[in-house]
Amino acid sequence: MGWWWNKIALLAIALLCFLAAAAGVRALLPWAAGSGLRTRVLTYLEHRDSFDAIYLGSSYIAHGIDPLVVDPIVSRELGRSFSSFNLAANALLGFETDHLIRTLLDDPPEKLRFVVIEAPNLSSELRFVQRQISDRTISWHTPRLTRLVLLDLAASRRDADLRWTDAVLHLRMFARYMTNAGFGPELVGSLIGATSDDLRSESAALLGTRGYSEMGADDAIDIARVRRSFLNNQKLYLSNTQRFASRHREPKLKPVALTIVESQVAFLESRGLIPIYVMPPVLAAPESYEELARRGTIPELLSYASPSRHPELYRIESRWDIQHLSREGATLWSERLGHDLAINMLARQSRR
Amino acid sequence: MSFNEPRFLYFFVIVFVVAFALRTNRGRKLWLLACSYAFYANWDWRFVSLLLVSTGVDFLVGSGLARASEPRTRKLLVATSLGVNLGILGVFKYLNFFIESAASFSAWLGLPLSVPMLNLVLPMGISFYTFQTLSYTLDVYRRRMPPVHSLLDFALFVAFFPQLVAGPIVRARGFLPQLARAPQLREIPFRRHLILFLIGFIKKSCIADRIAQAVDPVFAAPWAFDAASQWLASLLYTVQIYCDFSGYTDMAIASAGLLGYRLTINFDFPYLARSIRSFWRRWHISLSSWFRDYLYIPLGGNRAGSFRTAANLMIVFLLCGLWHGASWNFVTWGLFHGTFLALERRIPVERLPATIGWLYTLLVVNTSFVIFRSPDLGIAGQLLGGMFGLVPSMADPGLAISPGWWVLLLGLLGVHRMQQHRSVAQRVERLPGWAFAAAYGAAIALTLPWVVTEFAPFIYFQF
Repeated sequence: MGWWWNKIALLAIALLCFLAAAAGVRALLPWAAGSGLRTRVLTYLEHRDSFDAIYLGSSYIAHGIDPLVVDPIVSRELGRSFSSFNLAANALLGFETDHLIRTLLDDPPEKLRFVVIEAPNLSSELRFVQRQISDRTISWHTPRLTRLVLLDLAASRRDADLRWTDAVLHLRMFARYMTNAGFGPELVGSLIGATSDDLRSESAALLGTRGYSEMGADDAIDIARVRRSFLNNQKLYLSNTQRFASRHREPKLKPVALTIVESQVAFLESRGLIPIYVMPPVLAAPESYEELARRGTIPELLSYASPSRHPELYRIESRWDIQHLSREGATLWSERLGHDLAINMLARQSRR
Repeated sequence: MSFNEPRFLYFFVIVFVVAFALRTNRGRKLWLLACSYAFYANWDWRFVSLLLVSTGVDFLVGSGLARASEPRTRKLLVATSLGVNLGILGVFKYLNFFIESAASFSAWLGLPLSVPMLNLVLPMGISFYTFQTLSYTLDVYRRRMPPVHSLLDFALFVAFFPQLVAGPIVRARGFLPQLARAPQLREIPFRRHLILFLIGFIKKSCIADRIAQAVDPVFAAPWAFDAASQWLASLLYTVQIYCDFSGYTDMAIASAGLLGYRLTINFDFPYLARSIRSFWRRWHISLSSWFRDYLYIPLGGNRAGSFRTAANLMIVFLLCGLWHGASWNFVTWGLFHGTFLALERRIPVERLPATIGWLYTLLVVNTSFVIFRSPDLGIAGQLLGGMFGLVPSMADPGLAISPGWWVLLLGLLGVHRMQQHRSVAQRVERLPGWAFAAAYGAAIALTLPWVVTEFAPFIYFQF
């Protein structure tokens, strides 16, 4: 029996050293690169002391909020300078946003006060972009988030086969996260500080727009097809908008989503930051965040997901496609948001 | 299932734990046999039947040879074994090749033939286990070993999963005696095998698979690359195939070793050889020694004059090339090696200064691997022509392989040379238990980032 105990102890030592060394390697890895997220994060980190607020979320935010429109409005209404940066990126959904918040804002810069977060779709159901195992999808599969996503999957009412497929995919990504498998070249790039000229010029351009990028600015063929499809199906869009406006949304607060949002709020508040959740002007409301706001779980909610309350954001001219805003729509929403943020901040000042 | 896949780890842990939990030798062998069949069935369950046929026929032939004293009966029995085993191999591996070649030849003569091709899938590892079982019947026939009386032992010898799909080609007289008693845990040199497994894994998953990413485009379209890139790609492929195959062998030997069984070595620093003759004593040793013992020597070896020796070498290496695959590339590759081996009988290259001999060997081996790797002889000609300046370059400068690969190449050569002394591995092996465990855990963590995550099967699985 002694022989076995000896081997088990050695196995435990090997495992601990493996985990420690893997954590060390992981700490040296650069930010995940997909959809320009790395450039955004590096640009933000380089200028982090300049911003009062940052925006986090998916393409709805990335292509919908223009800080160059928001900032002058807030500055004017507050009577002091205000500067913000749009850190949102395509497909930056709930779990990944949470990971980004915890890694980027653990030790926030002194000036930063507001974190504007897209009310996150915290579903464990994988969307097509998440099904592709990439640096980004792996990067958020920490033990904590993997446990939560698996719990959410277990509680889901979806077909058992689909749940099993997704669970296996999440576990594979967790294994890649824990082992750093395949990240060697990234590690070398990080260690030798290989910042390409492309990255530098992208970063400069991003800083110029404060992170906002117009929808469709990249010339991807798929994007052009989406735009054409939208323009060809305007009637369908309008009828969907009417249907969405008249829909009664039942609060559905899934336990896992609630856990994440609660702990996210606690995390940010403990670091002196004010989380403001926003629901973008889309035709989908992932969870009932109004209910969370009423309960006081989230301190602030600015909702624009309502064609009846914000008809200007749902006009054809304001849309780039069914879900995304055009340049014109983004300007309208940014003006509206700037105004609402200023009101919120003034109310906060007066409460103090 | 392949040694470099995560699921092999789960499979092996189950095999190991259950094997050593079983008290009796028979129970353990039964378990290992069942696992070996499951391992093989995981590729394609239908081909387990071929494995069973080879096992059954050769076991019966062995038993028959034990009872038969008449030379004619013995010859008939061994011919049955050769016929069945080589027949299966011939149908699955070579039939289409011969049909296609005959049709091409006929068309060349101006007599186009329309011959239907058979839709056959090559069973994994068929060349390896066929040669393994043949070595048993041939050894029993020559009375070099007694026939085995246990079907279980014989079946495990044929199907033992660590060496089943890509060798080493184990000889029955080396393996069967090990099955007489159950290995004891305390007797197993775990550290040595764990180090060997990790080294094999690094060779395959970190080096060979990564090199493949640079090499494959050049072999697909050599005309698009300049001569420097072509040379670099060919040298990198020489490294890739060694790391791929010897990496597999290291993992096979280590897996068998962790279960308490010894497999024969297959590589002995082949790229440090100073002649082609020496190269073949160091490269795929289990195959070259098989051809030596069961073909070259029976043909007369080098005892019947220089012309006959050269002819024997050409026959052996023609078949050695064909063993690798049914294509003219492999035939040419085999004849290329046979030619240099025959020439070395006349020109004593081993007397050359060490560096000159080494460079000569590396050049011949590297050139031969261009023929081996190219999808067809046309591409091989293009690539060799480009490398030796015989074909004008149409290179696209944007496609040149990064010069950084030269650094890797030289680095790997240095490691290959240092490894020969085995001093680092021996020092790690002698560490106190806790220090070894810590170093091993950390080494895995530092290895995994370099793994190529897109799964690539071992090159020799296709043979």
